[in-house]
Amino acid sequence: MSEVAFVGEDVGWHVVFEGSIEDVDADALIATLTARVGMASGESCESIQIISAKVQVGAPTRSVA
Amino acid sequence: MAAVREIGSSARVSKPVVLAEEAVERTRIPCPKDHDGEVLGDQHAGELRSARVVGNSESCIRSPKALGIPSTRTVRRSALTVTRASPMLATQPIEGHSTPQAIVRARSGSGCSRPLAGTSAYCPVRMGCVEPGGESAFGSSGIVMLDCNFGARHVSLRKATRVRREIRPAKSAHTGKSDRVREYLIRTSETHEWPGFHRDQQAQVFMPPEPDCTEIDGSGDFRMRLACRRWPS
Repeated sequence: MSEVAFVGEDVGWHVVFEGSIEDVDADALIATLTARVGMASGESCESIQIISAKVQVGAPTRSVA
Repeated sequence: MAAVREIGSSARVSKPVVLAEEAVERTRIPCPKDHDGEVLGDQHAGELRSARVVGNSESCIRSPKALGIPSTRTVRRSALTVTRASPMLATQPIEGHSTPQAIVRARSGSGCSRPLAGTSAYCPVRMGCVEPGGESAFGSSGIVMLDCNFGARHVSLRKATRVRREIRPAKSAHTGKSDRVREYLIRTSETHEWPGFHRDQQAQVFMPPEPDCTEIDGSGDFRMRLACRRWPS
């Protein structure tokens, strides 16, 4: 069981998966979420994974609304 | 590469520089959540879009909803997004804080060689342009705010990132995967901003049509318990 929190920031929707994320295909969920957000907002959206230890973010994956 | 001065553990968060941004009005209102400070927010046309609490004991970013402030989030803010790692970042836990926080400080006059303009400006590793004494704080949301000075113009940089292992442990430095938390940012492709839609649509957009997936209370603008493993496309 995992929980997903969405926090709206100026830089985008900060999406946090908590709990047993090994049981969840988070990348697939984010890809679908990105498409859904793109459709709802009417803008082309992309998602990036925020990586902890190296203080950097992953390569963007784009989704055109 | 610019050097970064790591601050000592006894450093405290001081009140950040008040920025003068285009088409953005800064306003100060009493903090409704008793955060030992006041809310420094961006107000335009009477609508407070974003806000952060400033004070001596806490400096954090809070959404208007978290602060109990109604907002329609209709105003775009001329914030810049930094999307690459910056080796110039230096983080240090703030002593006396139970929640993960850190402050970032860098020297002035290092690496800030070109002007930035527009909401989609890209500033890869220009963290060294923070003013002397300029500080930034970020909490568990992972959004770094940097007050920078590009010539005579102040801008606010916001960086979506995570702090170091000692602040938010990660299982693997190579993959960035944690056994407890995995984080993403969904933003507009062109301007790298918040893709907005009406708050009433949040459940429709974020939740899959599965009976075991439910909206729950908790931190964040929206939160759900995810029982299903696959998200229907």
